[in-house]
Amino acid sequence: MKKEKNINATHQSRRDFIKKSALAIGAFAIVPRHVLGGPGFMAPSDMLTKAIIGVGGMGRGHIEYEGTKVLAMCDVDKNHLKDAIALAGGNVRGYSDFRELLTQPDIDVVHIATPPHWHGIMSVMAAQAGKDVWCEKPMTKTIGEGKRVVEAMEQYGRMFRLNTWFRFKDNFYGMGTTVKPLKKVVDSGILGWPLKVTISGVTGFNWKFYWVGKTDLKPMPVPPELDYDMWLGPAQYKPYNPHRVHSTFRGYWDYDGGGLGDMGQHYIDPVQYFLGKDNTSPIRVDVDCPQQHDDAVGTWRRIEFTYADGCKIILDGENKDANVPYIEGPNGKIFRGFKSDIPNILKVIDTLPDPEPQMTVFSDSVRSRKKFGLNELNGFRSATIVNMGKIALQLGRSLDFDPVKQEFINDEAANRLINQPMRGPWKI
Amino acid sequence: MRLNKITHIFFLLLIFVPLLLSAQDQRLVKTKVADALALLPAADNQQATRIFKEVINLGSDGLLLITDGVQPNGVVEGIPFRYAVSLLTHYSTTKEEKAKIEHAYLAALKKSTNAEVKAYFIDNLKLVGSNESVAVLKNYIGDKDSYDQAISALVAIGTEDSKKTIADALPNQSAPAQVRLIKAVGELKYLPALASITTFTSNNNTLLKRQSLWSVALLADASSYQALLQQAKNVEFKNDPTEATTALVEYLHQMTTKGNNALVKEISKAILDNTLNTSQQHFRLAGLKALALVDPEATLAILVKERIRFDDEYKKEVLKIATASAGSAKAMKLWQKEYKKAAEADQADILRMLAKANHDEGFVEAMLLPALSSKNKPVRITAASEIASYRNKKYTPALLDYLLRSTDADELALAQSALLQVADKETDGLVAQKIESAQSKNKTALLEILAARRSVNYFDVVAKQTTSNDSTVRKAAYHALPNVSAGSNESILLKMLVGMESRNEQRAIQAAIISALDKNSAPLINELYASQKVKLLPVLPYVNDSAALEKVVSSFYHGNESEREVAFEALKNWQNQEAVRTLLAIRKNESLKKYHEQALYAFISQTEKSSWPDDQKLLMLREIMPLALNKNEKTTIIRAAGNVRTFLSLMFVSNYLDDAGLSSAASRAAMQLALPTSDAKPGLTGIEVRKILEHMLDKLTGEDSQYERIDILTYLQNLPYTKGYESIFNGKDLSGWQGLVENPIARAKMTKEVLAKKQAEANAKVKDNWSVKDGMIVFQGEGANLCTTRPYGDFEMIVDWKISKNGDSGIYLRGTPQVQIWDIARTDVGAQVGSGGLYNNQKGRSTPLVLADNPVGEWNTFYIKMIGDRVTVYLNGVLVVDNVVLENYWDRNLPIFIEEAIELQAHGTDLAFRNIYVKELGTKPYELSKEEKEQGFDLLFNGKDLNNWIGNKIDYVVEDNAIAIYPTKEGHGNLFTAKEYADFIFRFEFQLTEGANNGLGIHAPLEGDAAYEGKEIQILDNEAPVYAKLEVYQYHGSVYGVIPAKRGFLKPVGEWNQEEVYVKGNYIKVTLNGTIILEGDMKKASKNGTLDHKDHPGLNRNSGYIGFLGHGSVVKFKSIRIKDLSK
Repeated sequence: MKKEKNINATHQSRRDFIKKSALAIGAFAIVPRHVLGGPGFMAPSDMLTKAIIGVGGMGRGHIEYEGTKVLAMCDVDKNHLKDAIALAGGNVRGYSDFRELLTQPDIDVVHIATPPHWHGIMSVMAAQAGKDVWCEKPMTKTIGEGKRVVEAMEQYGRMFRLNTWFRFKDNFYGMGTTVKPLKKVVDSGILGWPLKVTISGVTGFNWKFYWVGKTDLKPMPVPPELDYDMWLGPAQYKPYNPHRVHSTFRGYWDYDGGGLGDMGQHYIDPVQYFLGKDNTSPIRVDVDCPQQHDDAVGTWRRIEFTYADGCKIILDGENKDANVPYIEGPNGKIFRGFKSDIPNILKVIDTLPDPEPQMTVFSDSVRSRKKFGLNELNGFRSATIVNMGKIALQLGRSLDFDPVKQEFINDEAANRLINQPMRGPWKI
Repeated sequence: MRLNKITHIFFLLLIFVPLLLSAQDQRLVKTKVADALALLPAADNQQATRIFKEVINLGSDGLLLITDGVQPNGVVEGIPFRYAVSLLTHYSTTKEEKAKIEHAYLAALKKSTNAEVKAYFIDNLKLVGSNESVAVLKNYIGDKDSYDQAISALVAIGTEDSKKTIADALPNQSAPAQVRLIKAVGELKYLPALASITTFTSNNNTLLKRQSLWSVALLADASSYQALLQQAKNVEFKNDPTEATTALVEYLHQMTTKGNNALVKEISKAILDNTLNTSQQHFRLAGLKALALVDPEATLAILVKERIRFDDEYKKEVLKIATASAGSAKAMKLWQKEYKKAAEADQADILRMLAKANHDEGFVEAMLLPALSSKNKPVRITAASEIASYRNKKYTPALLDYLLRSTDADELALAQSALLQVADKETDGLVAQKIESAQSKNKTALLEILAARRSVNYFDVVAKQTTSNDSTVRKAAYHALPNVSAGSNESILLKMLVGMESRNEQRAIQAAIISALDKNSAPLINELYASQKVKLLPVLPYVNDSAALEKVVSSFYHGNESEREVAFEALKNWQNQEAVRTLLAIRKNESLKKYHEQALYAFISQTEKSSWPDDQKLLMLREIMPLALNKNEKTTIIRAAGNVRTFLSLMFVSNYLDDAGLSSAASRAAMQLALPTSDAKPGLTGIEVRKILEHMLDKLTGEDSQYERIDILTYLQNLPYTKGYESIFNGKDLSGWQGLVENPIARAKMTKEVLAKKQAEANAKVKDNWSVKDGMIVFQGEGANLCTTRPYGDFEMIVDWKISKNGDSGIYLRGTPQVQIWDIARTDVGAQVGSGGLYNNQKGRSTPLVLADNPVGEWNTFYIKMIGDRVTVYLNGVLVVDNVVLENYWDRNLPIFIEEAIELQAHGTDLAFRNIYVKELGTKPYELSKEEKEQGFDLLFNGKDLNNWIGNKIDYVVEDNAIAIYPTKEGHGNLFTAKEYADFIFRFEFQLTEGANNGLGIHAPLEGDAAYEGKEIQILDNEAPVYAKLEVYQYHGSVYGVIPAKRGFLKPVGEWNQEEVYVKGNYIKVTLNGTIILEGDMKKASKNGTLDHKDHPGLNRNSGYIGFLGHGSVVKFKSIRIKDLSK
């Protein structure tokens, strides 16, 4: 493989550096940084170093991030790489093969911003190389890969952050508030149990059905700037067509799962959190969809997940019920914009106890080795829901799932989709 | 028509179907497969399952037809067949089904010559393959195009045979195939292949070496230890491309799972001995973990020492490993000792580790509660957060005590957070109790807790602290005040406000008063107002009191400078729409320039938040638009209009699409208005909407614009071709309008000549009074009504109007007065009821339901709907006439006319009209013309029901006076006449969508394929790119497969086409939009065989049903009539 780096930095290990400066950090080392002085309180020398893999779309948005400094970037498209390096101000090393990047001793954190069919492999390989991982959603393309990422992070003692954030910050789509008040009200039991959560346009979520694939892609020559074989990586070989790659890859099952792949974990993860389901998965998935093409992702009407205790998550792609609440329990409902049939609900929530605080700054998590708010464990569980949905869509039928063994019950085809084969030398 | 799917099957049948089968049987299977393919992709799971069952029950012949149709990726004809294969692969659930499908795929694999197609079938075997496939797949392991899929399928099948096949294939393959096979051995954990793959661990090829090391590790055989260890040693236990160290760690992991504890210990120790460099930390951690797992007791001491080996982060990771074994008494003792002697910075980490290992109340008592008093701050913080994690209110006193003892900001913040986690109602009381005696910093923290918990029960406690001597306490108390105030505190708060001179504190009290407002507040405030104007003005926007605005306006215009400032702030904060017109007046007042900018933005935001109907919101936004000075102001108005979901709003923002500075904002607003919303409100439709969307496509900029473009294109593709609202005023001149000649009854009595003459006179007079100015129709002086040149029957109409003082006007519907418009000040004539009423009604209601007029000089919007004799009117978005009969003013014995002009009434005062749109409603039943009636035509479709039709009435529905086919539901898409016809003239209109395909069957039986069993006259958008390579006999109008038609006479997609099909015996003539596109004798044309070389038994039929033959696209038909020539 061809190198594309400019060797000018001395590759002093960051960990060596941190070790030397540990005394200076002194007694405050365990105090989360935001307690000390708020975000931004960080000397440049104190920053973690980061490398970004995949700088075409998503990755570019993450050049600037609190507490980190980008030293290297990697992309299989020469143009993307060139543009992104320029965007970062030029003083960044470029790689075309992430495996080479992983051997660099001066990188603390690897940021994976590739299409999802790479997330699992890269996360595991980064852990095996002793790096902490920041990974874009959806966490992995298959349930099997997710299990492996959990295992590898544990094996090598690595920190993992999945990059969706509504469980700990920002206003959550149609709710107009953060998830915290939802968590408080759900925890309080005011709404009763079990709860039904409906994620639809009506409750403020957009399923982005334009992420659909085309069924008539003609083979086309691979552009010279793109290493298509590496772009495909573990995905099975299919002739090149520009619609497969870059900004439209989500329309193909080989790499993602359409709007469900793109937005599913974004929307579902906070639900897992406030329902208190971070250690488990639904026991059943029901789908209502048109038949799917085996390459191109299509649309769907409804996907319904049921937990052992009767809680449900409903993904309503048709916005069928125009008055549906976001959360519905036997004793109360919460609608879009946090409207509720419980009088003065916001004031009531203020008097409820707070949920446990979460680790919300990844560099703090790396330093303190405390799990990030959204890590490989809870991230895997919410990714599993997305992956259950994808399998049920492809098979066009309801499936029963064992959340402990993490496999489907009495459906061999579904189980054959839990671990999907990886092409050539790629393994996880 | 019979294009892709079915032609293809015919073609295949000719080649492949064994001749032994009778012709009848062939047709049956073929037809069934064709029917199934036509429905793919299935619309839903039930349909998919049904089609699956149908196909699988057709047996191997049916499956063969499907697999034979699969084409290389990218060949359009093959798409339905890939859907069928996908259906078979994914929807099969039983062993029997899978076996049938597997056989079909294996057969197809044998037959196919294309590498991609072969790989495709192999890939499908991954889901349905069984041991039976193994022998076949074996042959592909050596195939460079499909070895990967073949090995993947073998792994998925996973039987002993497949494992053995993989192992046996290993020698003599290309290196990539070997890598793949070695990986498969590991995935399948096929121990018999261990020796064979182990040989590759010393291979020079890095890929082979890496993969074999990994697979050996996965096989987890005790005998592999030395080899794996040696390889790791060779690379000095570092990261390297062969990943030898990683393989050893994986081997360790596998042994742990297997429970081979002795070996785990050995491997772990080897790893620990060889990973002393900081860059090997992660391998070391893996070794420690395994050791701790198999021998926790023995590892304890190692962990204690190990903790301080590397850096700070490593210490924490080691402690995490220690957590698993730190629950025992022995561990506790050891770690407590370590805790005592550890550096200050580390104590907290050890404490946390112990807390995680001992999550019980005993530990809280023994360690955590005492730790709250530690000298070491991180320890105290850790203890507090660990205690909080119990979420048990019994620890409230301890945490409260901790908070009271805390002095620095971090600890106070943490103690607060901990208390808020364990808090319940009683906590508030405990906190309130402690406030009095607490130190000032702690007091502040406690006040913040009461505020965070909205403890309205402790208002007095907080209020008391507002008089504290300590300024930080006072500040915190004031800060907390709004959160703990309720209605009962109102009078105390007012008293506090009266006595308060400092501005900041006044603000806090005002905020508290606002948050405590209830129904009793207004009198209290009004009582004080005269003496406390400036202090109470900020509260007024929130008080629900009709006189409040008046007070503020008076202060603004008549108060001194400071009072005016406060009053303006109040106007800006107004909570409903009452202040909007005051803000407008300020903006218009040249002497109040310093308030202009803020007034405009407040105007916009209050309009947006108002409870006004959308029409009124838009009117107000349009009102301020001419006053906007710069891009920012204009953009804000356009954005606001983007949230007012009306057709007029879309027209408004579309005015700015070509303004360089505003085009992006206008495009985004237009998109928001026209497309369906995320909460399921439907999008806007019609020609104007389509034009705007097409126009703005390339005007969107910004990050999401590429996705937005996809949204818009998708919407445009699915947008029905309805006309929708059309402008009947072009904004430039009065084309489409004319002068008034008497009244409809009088006009009807005139001869053509007289009418023409009078019309010319009336038109000449129009110029005296009616003109077009700035996009408005304007009337001045004395004159007659302005009328549309064409009549309207049933319609919806939108019109904006404006009158001057004492104004009087109206909209005549069907030439008849009128929907009233007048100045409500004219109480002498009863105008106080408002505009919109059907003024001349005598029997029905003549006055509007409510008064909804805007002040004279402002614009108003009418929405008028007239169906039959009934009229509905909305004025400024408010319903004022609800489905009332419009009486015939000209002759009260007659009902209202069926069609007449729309007129703008002139009544001697200045008027202006703009935005005049009409949407015609085709709600009249279709009737035969007099001419056709005389010629003996019969009506086959009246625009209302399918009474004269049989067949598929599920997919064919009546909509907008037309028959529409939506082939998304069940069924096969044929709709036939109820009667049979031999010779006839069949006339109809049809409307196509992009690429649409249908057909007109004639002489058809009800069973079988009408195109062959009868004849099919093609109906097709043959201008669509997908049909570029049609055979001539497939063009629109052709007798399918028999006589070609001329191409090029279809109207553009979306417009209605007129067609006549004339059939007499074998003679046929097709006339499209006035041009004969086909004429000939069907028998003679096929004398020497048909053009498509297929059998057309229908050519021998000379009578049968006429029908529309659906082929999966949306098409509409109307005005269908027939003359039976056989009679």
